[in-house]
Amino acid sequence: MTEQVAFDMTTLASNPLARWREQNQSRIENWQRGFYRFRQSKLSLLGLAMIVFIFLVAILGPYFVPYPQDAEGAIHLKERFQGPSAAHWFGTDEVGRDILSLVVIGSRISLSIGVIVLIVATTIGIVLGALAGYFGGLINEVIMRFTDIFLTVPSLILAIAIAAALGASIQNMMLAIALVWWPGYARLVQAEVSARKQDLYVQAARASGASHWRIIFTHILPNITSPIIVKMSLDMGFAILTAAALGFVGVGAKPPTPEWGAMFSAARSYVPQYWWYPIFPGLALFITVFGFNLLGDGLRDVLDPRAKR
Amino acid sequence: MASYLIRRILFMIPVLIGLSILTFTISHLIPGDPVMLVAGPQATKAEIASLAKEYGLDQPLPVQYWLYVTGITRGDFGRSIMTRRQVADDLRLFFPATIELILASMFVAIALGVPFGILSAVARDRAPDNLIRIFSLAAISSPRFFIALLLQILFGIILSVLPLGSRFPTLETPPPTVTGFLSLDAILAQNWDALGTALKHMILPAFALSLSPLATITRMMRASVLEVLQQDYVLTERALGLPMNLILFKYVLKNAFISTLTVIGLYFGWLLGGSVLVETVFDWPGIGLYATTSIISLDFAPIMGVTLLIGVTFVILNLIIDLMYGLFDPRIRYT
Repeated sequence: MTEQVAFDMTTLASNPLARWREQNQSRIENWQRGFYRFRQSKLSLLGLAMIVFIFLVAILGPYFVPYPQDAEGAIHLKERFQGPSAAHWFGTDEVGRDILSLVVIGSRISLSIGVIVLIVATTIGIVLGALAGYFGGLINEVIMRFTDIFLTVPSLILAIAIAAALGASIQNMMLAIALVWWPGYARLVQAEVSARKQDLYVQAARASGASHWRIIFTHILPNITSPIIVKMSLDMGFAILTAAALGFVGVGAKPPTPEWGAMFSAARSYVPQYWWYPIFPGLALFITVFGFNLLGDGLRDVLDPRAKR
Repeated sequence: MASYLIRRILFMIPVLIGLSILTFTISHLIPGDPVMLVAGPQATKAEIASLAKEYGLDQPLPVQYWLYVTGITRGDFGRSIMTRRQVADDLRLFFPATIELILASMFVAIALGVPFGILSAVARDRAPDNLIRIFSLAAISSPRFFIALLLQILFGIILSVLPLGSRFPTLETPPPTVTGFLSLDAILAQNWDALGTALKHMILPAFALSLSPLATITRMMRASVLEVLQQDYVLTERALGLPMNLILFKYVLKNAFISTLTVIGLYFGWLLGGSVLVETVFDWPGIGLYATTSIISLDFAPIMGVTLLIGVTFVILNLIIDLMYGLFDPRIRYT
């Protein structure tokens, strides 16, 4: 008998993966079921493939582009406005820069803007929403009325106003978008937390003396990650789109930074003669946002059983 | 109803105060001294001081806020630093153009979105449904300025059937201004040529702006029709052998439309923001174009005026939408 126990101990200790599997069996099964449902939708898989491709381009692309120095403001006036060719797949712009190189390097800018904006916005939104939902009362009133004020102005116009006031730069633009983006998360988290705080497991945690902090962050939040993830995946595309819109209006990235919206804005006046110049940054933007929306739609069907198709 | 209305209007007051604090704060985020910007680098100290006095910038912040708010209630949105014109006058001039464009694009979005949504729901999971769903997702994902440019290239340049931009040709005389809506003014003046010209100029920008609400209305309509089709009363009607068309048009649509109405209301506000991009591409002389041209010259009074105007319009629109539910849903009683 003692030998048997010792044997079990050693297999478990020597194979942490098996132990982890055993402990998390139901969670793994949930994930498998979710993945199965996700795989059923061809559009979600297409979205996933597009996003993987775009991330690969953003991570590896800049090392392979034919003219990396063009993104740093190199000028080749002799080669200005060349149409798409073997040397310049996407053509060149008004100072002879290779548009393919700019679009590829620009993918890194757009994706990082989207990621950073969402991280900042969800952090602010989760903290304020959780405080409001958990404590309720006056704290809830103050936080939620403050949130409402931000929701009275359409987000794009508010972001433009803030970015214009802060001065045009990528950092200020990200700050401006994050500042108009958090109220959505605050509302979502507030509603979820106030719905969960009477649940049995929360009462149990409270009865056993857990601190407020511990209840919020280790008991309630892990149970409301699904709607947050769904919202983030749907928002990623729109955050990128908003950033491009700010670049387009002139309160975001400034040339020669190859941000897609700013590139498009500069290119617009050369249409129709040099059509390739705005078309490729525009297409890149469209494909990226489309991919995120397809993926987000699929994730919502998997993770949010309440959402009706 | 009356007491509900009064309560809702009273509730708007703190929201509007919050909004004014927000725009006031934003306009004070501006790095550097706005007075120096106007005065230019060669200005003497006396000139700077007199300009600061002229714009009230020498007062302490709470006083400045008080002047700002009391100004707004009198319809004074400050003066443009570049043109020295009153922002309120400019807004009055440009706002109707924006509203006209938004109404036109909302018309397109509803006229196409509602039937698309019904078709999609009725043909669930078959070819038309899949096609419409991919189209609506693509429409939401496309940058409006990109779509606007593609439309310009296709219809304005390649086919050259529609004007590239602006609201009315500069060489022609527009109908006398009554409402500020060119198309309506043309009808009032019974000037049918002008009406045709005005509508022609409106088609491309309205369509470019309508794509996003069109897609959302389609999806919303599809979801709510599917939901209503599962209701007991619809199942009963089907069991009784009522023709599907009758059930759909007489019973389902009215109920399905309620949730779509929310989206339409939300989108009016969203379009006020989205019009900035489309107006810029199409040179449409509305408040969006006014805002973007002011951004280039770092002229903040117009930008804040536009932000505030859009915020106030948004708040009022939400109230109207809330009241409209009652028309469609008899269960809602305002008490």
